[in-house]
Amino acid sequence: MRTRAVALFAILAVLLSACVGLRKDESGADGPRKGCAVVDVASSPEKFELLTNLAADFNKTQSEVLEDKCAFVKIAKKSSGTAAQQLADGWQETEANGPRPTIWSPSASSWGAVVNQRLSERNQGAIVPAGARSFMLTPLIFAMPKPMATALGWPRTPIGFADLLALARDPKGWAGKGHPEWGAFKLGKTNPNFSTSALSATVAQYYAATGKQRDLTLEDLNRPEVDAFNRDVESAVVHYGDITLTFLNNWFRNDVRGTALTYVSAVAVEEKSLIDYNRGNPDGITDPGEQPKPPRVPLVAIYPKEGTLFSDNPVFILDAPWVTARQKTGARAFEAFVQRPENQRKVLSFGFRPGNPAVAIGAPIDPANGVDPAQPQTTLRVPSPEVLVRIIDKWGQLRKAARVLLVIDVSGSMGDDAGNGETKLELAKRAAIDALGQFKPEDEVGLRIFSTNLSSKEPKDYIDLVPVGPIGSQREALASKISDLIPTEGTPLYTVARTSYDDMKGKYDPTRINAVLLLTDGKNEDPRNSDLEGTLRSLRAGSEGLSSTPVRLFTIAYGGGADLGILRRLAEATNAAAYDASDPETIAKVFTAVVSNF
Amino acid sequence: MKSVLALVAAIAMVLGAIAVRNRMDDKPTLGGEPTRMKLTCATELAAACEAMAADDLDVIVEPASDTAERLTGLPDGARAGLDGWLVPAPWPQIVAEARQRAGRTTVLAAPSAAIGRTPVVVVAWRERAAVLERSCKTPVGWRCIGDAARAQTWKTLGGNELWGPFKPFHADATREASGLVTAAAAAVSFLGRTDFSSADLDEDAFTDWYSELERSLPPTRSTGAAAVQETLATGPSVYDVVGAFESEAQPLVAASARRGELQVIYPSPMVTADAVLAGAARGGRIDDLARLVTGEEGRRSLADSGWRVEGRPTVGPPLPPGNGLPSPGALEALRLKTKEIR
Repeated sequence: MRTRAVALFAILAVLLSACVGLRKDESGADGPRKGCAVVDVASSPEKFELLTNLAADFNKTQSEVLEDKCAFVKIAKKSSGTAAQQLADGWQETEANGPRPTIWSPSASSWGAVVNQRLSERNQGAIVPAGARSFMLTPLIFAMPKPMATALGWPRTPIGFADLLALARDPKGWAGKGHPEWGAFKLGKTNPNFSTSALSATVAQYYAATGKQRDLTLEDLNRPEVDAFNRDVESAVVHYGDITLTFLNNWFRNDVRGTALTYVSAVAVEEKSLIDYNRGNPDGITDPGEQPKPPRVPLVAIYPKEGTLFSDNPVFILDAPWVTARQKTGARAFEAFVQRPENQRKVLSFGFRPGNPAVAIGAPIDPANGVDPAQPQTTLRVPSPEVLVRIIDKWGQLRKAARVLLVIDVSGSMGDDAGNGETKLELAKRAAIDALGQFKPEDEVGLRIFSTNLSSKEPKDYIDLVPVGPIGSQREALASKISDLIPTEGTPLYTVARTSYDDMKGKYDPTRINAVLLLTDGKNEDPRNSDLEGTLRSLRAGSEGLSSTPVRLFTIAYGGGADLGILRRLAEATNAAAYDASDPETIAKVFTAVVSNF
Repeated sequence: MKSVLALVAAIAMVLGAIAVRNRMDDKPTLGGEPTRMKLTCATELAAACEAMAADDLDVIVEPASDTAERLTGLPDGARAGLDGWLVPAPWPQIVAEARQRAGRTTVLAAPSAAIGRTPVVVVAWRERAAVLERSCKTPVGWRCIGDAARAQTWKTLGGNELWGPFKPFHADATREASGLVTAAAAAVSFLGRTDFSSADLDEDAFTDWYSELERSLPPTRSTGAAAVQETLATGPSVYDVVGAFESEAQPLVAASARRGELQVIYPSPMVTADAVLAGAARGGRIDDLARLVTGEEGRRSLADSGWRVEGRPTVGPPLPPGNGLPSPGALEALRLKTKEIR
């Protein structure tokens, strides 16, 4: 009898724990106290570190809160554009997407309008509330080397977007301002599908094109002269990309080499990024042992005289079906916590303006860092959601066309298991085929594969499967050739990097972004060419100074065997960037990021 | 016997577990009608409502127009879904008149007397307010702001060209109580009287003037409090002047590091929002709620959130005896006019 009673209790204990057990996210593995509501936050990358610190402080305060009222905040990094897309698509909780957020804090409120608009186009209700409070602020500015700004009359003469764009459209370039040694006016601008500064800059560009400061309409966007204006502006762009950091890092390296004035003339960035750059820390993160050294040529902030837009970093507590009342309460507590003056002072130290006006703006937002706390004097109005979405769509049509050679490693190691039962090559092929959809019909794309002894005749180490040509007519052929790829022998990395670069340079098209996208999973394994320094010298020689034929070599380090350090050096030698896909399952995301440069 | 006891204990544990699980899932507890007090509050009264300490009080905060439209559309005999509505007058009257026009019975009891009051103010950047005053040749008020909106740019107004377009703000008159009261203050300022009708609002002169003012406002708008917060954080670049309730603006301005650069203006004629409690016509815990909201607890919460409450110290100029607003019908006409313009 006693045994039966014990067994009964044991069964009931299991039932009980199943009933009251914590939800999956509240497993305790990441530290939440039992019973606390987990508040997941999707944060744009530039404030991830700051919010993570604040969340840790907040979570400590929750030990004194009653179990049924406490909250545990978890911060995840997610670019604003990617999060907007995931929210509009219903945010599937996959490993790559991360948990569905209770709080979404993109860089700017305009992303909230984009999500609600995309949902409304699918007859779904809004999930991003209006009137969210700003956590911190930073205005969009044009970062420009001080000598260039001075040549335009800075700081006495107010400089406008229209002035910069006129310079971009002037075939004489800087020669028209008495500085032929600086070459053409080159604009740096990211991709508005991903980047807030690019979205704001593109909106400002449309205002400049229409001569308006508010009330942009769909009709304005469709005017032929507005299209022509925007095409001209985009033609001055060196390349795009998902983050402004690519430009700032390259600028900083050029500054060290004394070529800062020829890499790019102005870049649309947030004020915060310029402060980081002038402090000698272009990525805004101080690594252990890093001694930031200010650049030789400092940048100054141009606050466009027509007005600009703020990245207002809202804290959106989502009205999404997956957010519970408990989570909302926890989210509101965290929102109030980050607004406390002591926490808002931390915002300042990161180079942002405080969202809580009780905290005064002060250093480092000062002229010593190239910025002016009294600016901007006016702002441009964020357009209506439908106009905003149309601006993004139109940018896809009007952006500078690209001419890109995809160079894919088919060495033997690409046949290794990616960890999910597929080979690395299988995953890469799928990601490459998906990425083809990001190109517009006017882009020219070719496909080259490489591996040692691929062919019996020269060139032995690579084969052009599809020559560079308009993707509109050869998208199918490219997809089919990519799909047929099989792994073969070793990795002739230096040879293929150099020859691909030289080939693209030889057929340089000045109306396009000319680039090589090289994916490899290995290190150089070519006994006939192991000369890294010679390869770097050759790439650099073609990219420095007033190079009239700049070709960018973007590299993807794929899988654990790739040498990200060397790939970074190869990319940076051409003022491009390397991307890390050491986890093969991230390859689709990485491909999307790389193709955002075009 | 032991088995029976074990079974009873087991059932009790399972029921307990389900109850706990339900609570964690934010579902109502098992059994019976909820007996908690339900208070619906207009956005502008959120802080006061959320500060009212009562264990059995549920607070819902939403724009006044959302509550009004729901109450107006209720079929006869249906429950209001709330025990009381704390909102600036005359929203309960607007609902009552709308239901009467639709031939429906009342859903709300007569509202209380004003529990707290707050005037409409304009928060302006001193430097820009001075230019505005010179341009209007009168103290800054809604007539002046509307005229400036018609001029469109600071350059035209005699100000700095780099200040760009003239950028006023008030909350959405079609949704928020503060928006409608502020829009009413503007209409009163232009028409010079409070006894206007919908016909006066249709006069060309008013329509042109009011349209310019409304179109100079951002199409997607937050509350007055959020706009004051935004202008304090961003400086004068986003809004030049913000119309809001004193209860929304004054505490934020007072706490701001930039308060020296700002001016809180009380436009003449002064218009006030008077917070009233309208109980549901039937059912629920109306009396308990009225005791809480109109009693000491409610008055303290209102005063702490910036509303003026009789017998408590206040800052700012004295308030007029009346609210200075037109009739509920004229306000509803103004709301419809605003919808039409946008």
